Amino acid sequence: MVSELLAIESLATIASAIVAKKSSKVAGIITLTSSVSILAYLMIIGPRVLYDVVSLGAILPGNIVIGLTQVGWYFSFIVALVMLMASMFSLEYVKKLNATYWLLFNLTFLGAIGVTLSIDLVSFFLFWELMTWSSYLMVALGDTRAGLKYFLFSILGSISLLLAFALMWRLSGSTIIPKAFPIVATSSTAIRIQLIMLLTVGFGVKAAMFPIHVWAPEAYPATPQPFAALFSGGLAKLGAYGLALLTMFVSASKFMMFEDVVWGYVLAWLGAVTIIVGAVLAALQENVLKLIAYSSVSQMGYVVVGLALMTSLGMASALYQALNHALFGSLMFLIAGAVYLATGTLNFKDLGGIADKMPLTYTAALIAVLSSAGIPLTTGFNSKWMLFEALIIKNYYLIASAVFVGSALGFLYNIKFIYGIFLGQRPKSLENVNEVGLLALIPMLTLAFLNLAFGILPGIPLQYINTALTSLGIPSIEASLTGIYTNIGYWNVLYVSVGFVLAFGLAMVLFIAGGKLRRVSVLETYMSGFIPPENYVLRINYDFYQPLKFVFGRYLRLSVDRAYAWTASLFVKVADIIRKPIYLGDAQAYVWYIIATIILFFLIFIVGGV
Amino acid sequence: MVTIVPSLIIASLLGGAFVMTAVAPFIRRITKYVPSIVLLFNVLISLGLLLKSTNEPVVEFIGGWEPPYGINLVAGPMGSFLALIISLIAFLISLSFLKYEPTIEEVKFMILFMLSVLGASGLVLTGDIFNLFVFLELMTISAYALVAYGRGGEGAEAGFKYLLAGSVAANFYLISVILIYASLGSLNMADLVTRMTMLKHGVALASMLFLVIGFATESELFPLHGWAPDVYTGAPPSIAALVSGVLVSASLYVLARFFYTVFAELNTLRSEMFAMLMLLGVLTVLFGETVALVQRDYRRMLGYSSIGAAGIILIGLISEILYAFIGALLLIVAHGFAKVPLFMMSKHLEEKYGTRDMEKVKGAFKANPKLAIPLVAGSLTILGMPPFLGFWGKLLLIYGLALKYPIIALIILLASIVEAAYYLRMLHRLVIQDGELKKQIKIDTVELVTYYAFLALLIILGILPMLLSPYLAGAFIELSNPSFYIKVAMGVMGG
Repeated sequence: MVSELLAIESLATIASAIVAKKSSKVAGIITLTSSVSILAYLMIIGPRVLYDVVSLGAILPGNIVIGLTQVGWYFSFIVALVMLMASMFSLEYVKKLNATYWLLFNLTFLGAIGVTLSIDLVSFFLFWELMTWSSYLMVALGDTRAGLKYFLFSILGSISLLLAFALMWRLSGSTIIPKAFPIVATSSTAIRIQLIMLLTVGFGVKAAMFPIHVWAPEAYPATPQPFAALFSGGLAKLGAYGLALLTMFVSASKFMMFEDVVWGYVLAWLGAVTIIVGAVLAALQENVLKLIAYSSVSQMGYVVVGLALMTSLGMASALYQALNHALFGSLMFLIAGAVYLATGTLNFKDLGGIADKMPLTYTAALIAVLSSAGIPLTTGFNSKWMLFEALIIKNYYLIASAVFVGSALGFLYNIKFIYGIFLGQRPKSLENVNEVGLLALIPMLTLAFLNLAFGILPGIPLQYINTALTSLGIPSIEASLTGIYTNIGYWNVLYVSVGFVLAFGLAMVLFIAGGKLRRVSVLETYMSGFIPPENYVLRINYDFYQPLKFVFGRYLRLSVDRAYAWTASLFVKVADIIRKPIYLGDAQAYVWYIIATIILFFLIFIVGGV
Repeated sequence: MVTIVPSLIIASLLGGAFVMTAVAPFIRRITKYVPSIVLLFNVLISLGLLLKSTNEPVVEFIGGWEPPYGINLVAGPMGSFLALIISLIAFLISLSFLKYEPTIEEVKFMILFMLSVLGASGLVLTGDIFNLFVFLELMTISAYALVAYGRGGEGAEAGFKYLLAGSVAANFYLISVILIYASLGSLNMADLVTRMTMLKHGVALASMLFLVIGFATESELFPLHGWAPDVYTGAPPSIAALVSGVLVSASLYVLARFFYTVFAELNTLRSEMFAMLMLLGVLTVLFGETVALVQRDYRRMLGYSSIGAAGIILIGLISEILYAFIGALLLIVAHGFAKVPLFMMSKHLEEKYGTRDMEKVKGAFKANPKLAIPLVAGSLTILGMPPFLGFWGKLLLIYGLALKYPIIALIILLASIVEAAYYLRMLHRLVIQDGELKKQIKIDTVELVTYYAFLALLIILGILPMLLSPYLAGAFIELSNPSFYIKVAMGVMGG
C-alpha cells in the first residue's frame, strides 16, 4: 500500500524530467499533482502502522520494509507539506528555473519521503543517500564550493550511519528499525558509545548541528528558494528524525546508563551552542538567504536540545519545534523567493520599505517572524515554552539560560529580516515593485495561516506527537486543544487569546476615540516630525548590527569553518609528501619494490618465527 | 540440444583471432565485426554456464584426460560469474571498434585485445595451476603490447614498465608452481587441496609468498603497483579500462582461489597469507585514495582510484565473511562497469583539447550533457550512491566487515570520504563549473551506446540486485567449501 506512494513519486520524477525540457510548467504541474496526492494520502490514512515487505533474496540478510509508523508518519507529513508548498511556489518561480531543477527537486523529495517511509535500515540508508546526492547536485549547480562542502560533510554523515547501521544490524540480527535501534540501549558500554557517537554524527550533519553545521549556511542559499524551503524545512528535519528515533528508543528502554546521561548532556550543550552561534551569525549577515540559512541552523538547535533531554516533554517539544520550523523556516525561504521575484535582489542594502507594495507577502513575513521569534499566539512560542519547561524540570539551568540567550539573540535577526526587507525607507529603485502572483501567495499564506492556527490550537499537532511518543512506549504529555500542562505550570492559549482580543479591542476604542488622524510619511516618522530634505538617506539596512559586530568581531575569527579548511589543506600536503618519494617514475625502482617486499615478508615470517 | 562447455569461450576467442589474422590482408573491412560477435557469443555462453552453475556446474576435461593428469576447466558459480563479467565488459568495449575503418595496425590491436580477454577468461575458469600460468602470460603479454599502443612515448614507456613488473611477477608465480609441482607431483587445484598437507611448511610458505607477490603485482597492490599509474595514463583509454576492470579483477580472483581452495587445509599458512593480504589491501586503499587526491591529471586520478578499489575488493574477497565477499564481487562488477565510461571520457578530452589536465579543461562537458550523464553516473557508482550497483557493493562490504574488523571497515569508509572529495572536484571542474570551453564534442553513436549500456546495467542491477544473489551466494559456497569445489572439479557433480 505505502510503497505505491514511492512508485507515484518515482513516476512523477521520471515524467517531470522528460517533459521539463519541453515545458517547465507541465513538469511543475506533474510535481504538484504527485505531492498533493501524497499529502492527501497521508492525511487520510493518519498515523498508524502499515507496511509492505519486499524481498531481495539471498543478497540481503533481511527484507526491505516500506511503510508507516507513527513517528515516520509525523515526519513524512512535515516533508510532504513542505514539498507541496514548495512545488506550488516553484510554478510561480518557474521562469528562473532550468530543466534539471524538476528532476533534482523530485529526486530529493523522493529520497526524503522515502527515508520517512522506510522501516528497515537498508532502505533508510538507500533513500538517505539518494536525497543526499540529488540535493548535492542542486547545490553544486548554484555554487560548486558550497556543493563540495555539503557533500563532504554528508559523506562523513553517511559513512557514520553506514557503520552504525551495519553494527546494529549484525548485533540485533534484524534490519527492522524497531528491532535494530533498541540495540543501542542494550549493548555493552564500548559498542554503545561507538553507536551513539556514530549515529549522532550521522544524523547531526543533516540536522546541521554544531560543529558540523558549516555546510548549511552556504548550501541553502546556493539553491533556488523553493528548493531551499524543502531543503531546510524538509531535509534538515530528517536529521532530527534520526536523532528522535535514537533518543526515543534509548529513553524508552529501561536501561538508561550513565553514558547515555552524559551523552544527553553533551548533546544538549551542542544544541544550545548551535542556537547561539546560528543566531549571532544570522544577525550579522547582509544577505537575506544567508540570514535565513543561519537562522535555520539556530532553530534546529532547539530540536537537538529538546531531544537530548530524553524526557517526554523535551522530546515532544523537539518534535513540535521540528514541525514549527518546517512551517516558518520554509515560509521565510518562500518569502525570500517572493522578494527576489518582485525586486530581483536579496541584499539588504538594496531592499527596504516594500511592505505597502507587497502587503500580503508582508503579512506572511510578519507572522513568520513572530513565530520564529516565539511570540505567543504563534506556533513557535508553544514549542519553545515547552522546551523551557522541560529544561527547568530536568534541572538543566545552565543550558536553559544558554538557550534563553540564544532565543533572545533570535530577535535580532528576526527584526532585521522584517525591517530590512519590508520597513524603513524605500530605495528609489524599488518604486515599481508589485505583489507576486497567486501561485506564490497561496503557499505563503497557507503556511502563515498554519503558523497561527497551530499557535492557537497546539492540541492538533500535540495529539499526533503524543501518538508518536506512545507508539514507542514513552509516556504522552498532557494537552487539550488549546492548552499544554506540565508538572510546573500550564499554558492555555484560550485565556491568552481572550485577553489579547480584549486588549486589542481596548486599543481599538482608544484609537477611534482619540485625536484627529493625519497621514505621515516614513520620513516624518523617523525624524520626529521634522521634514528632511529630499534624498536624505535614513536607511540602516546595511551593517544593521555594527555594534554587535564590533563586540563579537574578535571571536568571529575563531571559526570552525576555518579549522576544517586548515585540516583539509594539511591532508593534501601530506598526500603530496607521501607521493613523491614512492612514485619515482622509474621502472627499475618498481621492480626493486617487488623484490624488497618479498624479502621483507620472508623476514617477517621466518625471523618472526611464525 | 547443444551442450555448453567452458572451452567454447577459449576456442571462440582463439578462433576469432586466427580468422582475423588470416583474413586481414584480403578483406580487412569485416574484421572489425569479429571481436564483437565473438565476445557476444561468449557473453551468452558464460551466461548459460552461470545459470547452470548453481545446480549442475559444468566441468570439462580437456582432451578427455581426467584430472589430476589432464587439465580441467571448471565453470563453478565463481568462475562463470567472473567469466560473464569479463566477457560483458570486453564485449561492450569491443563495440567501440565498430567505428574504425581498420588499418592493419588496428586489426593487430583488436587481435591482441581478444587474446588478452582470452587470457583473463581462462584465468578464472581453469582448474590447473600451470594452465593458469599460461593464461596469465597470454593475458599480460598481450596487454603489454596493447598498452604500448597509447599515444606517443607515454604508451611505450608504460608498456615497458608494465612488461618489466609483469614478467617479474609472472616468474615469481612460476617459481611457486615449480615448488609445488616438484614436491607434490600434481598441478590440479582440486587434487592439490588434500596433497598440500604433505608439503613442508618452509616450502609451502615460499610458494605462498612467491604466489602472493606475483599476483599482488598483477592486481596492483601497494607497494607493487608502480606500473599501474603509468599504464592508466599511457595506455589507450579502452585498454586502461580493460586493465582496471578485467585484468586486475582476474588477478584478484586468483589470490582468492589459492587462499580459499588450494591452501584450504593449511591453517597456519592461511593465517599468514590472510595477514599479508589484509595488510597489503589496507595499505593499497590508504595510498591509492590519498595519492589520487593530489592528481590534476584526469586519467591518473582514475588510475589511483582503481588502485584503491583493488585494495577494497581484495579485503572483501579474502575476509571469509559471506556479505563482505558478496559486496566485493558486486564491487568488481560495479567498478569494472563504471570505469569504462570514465576512462573513455578522457579520450574525448584528449581528442578535443589535447590535454587531460583538469585545470585546463574546466567545464568541458557542460555543453555536452550526453557525455556528462555517464560521467556523473559513473562517479556516483564508484562513490557507492544509490540507485547504482556500487551502493550494494559498499553497503554489504561494510555490513560484513563491521563486527569482525571494525577498524578496517572504518579505514575503508574514511577512504570513501577522500574518494568523494576528488571525484566531486573532478565533476565540478569538468561538468558543473562554467568554463570558456563551450565546444560540442563530436561523439560516435556506437560509443554512446557503450556508455549507456554500462549505465543501464548499473541501474538495472542496482535496482534489482536480487538477480545476482543466488550466484554470488553460490560463489561463496564454492570458495568457502573446498570439498564442494573438489566434487565439481573432479566431475563428480554435474556434467
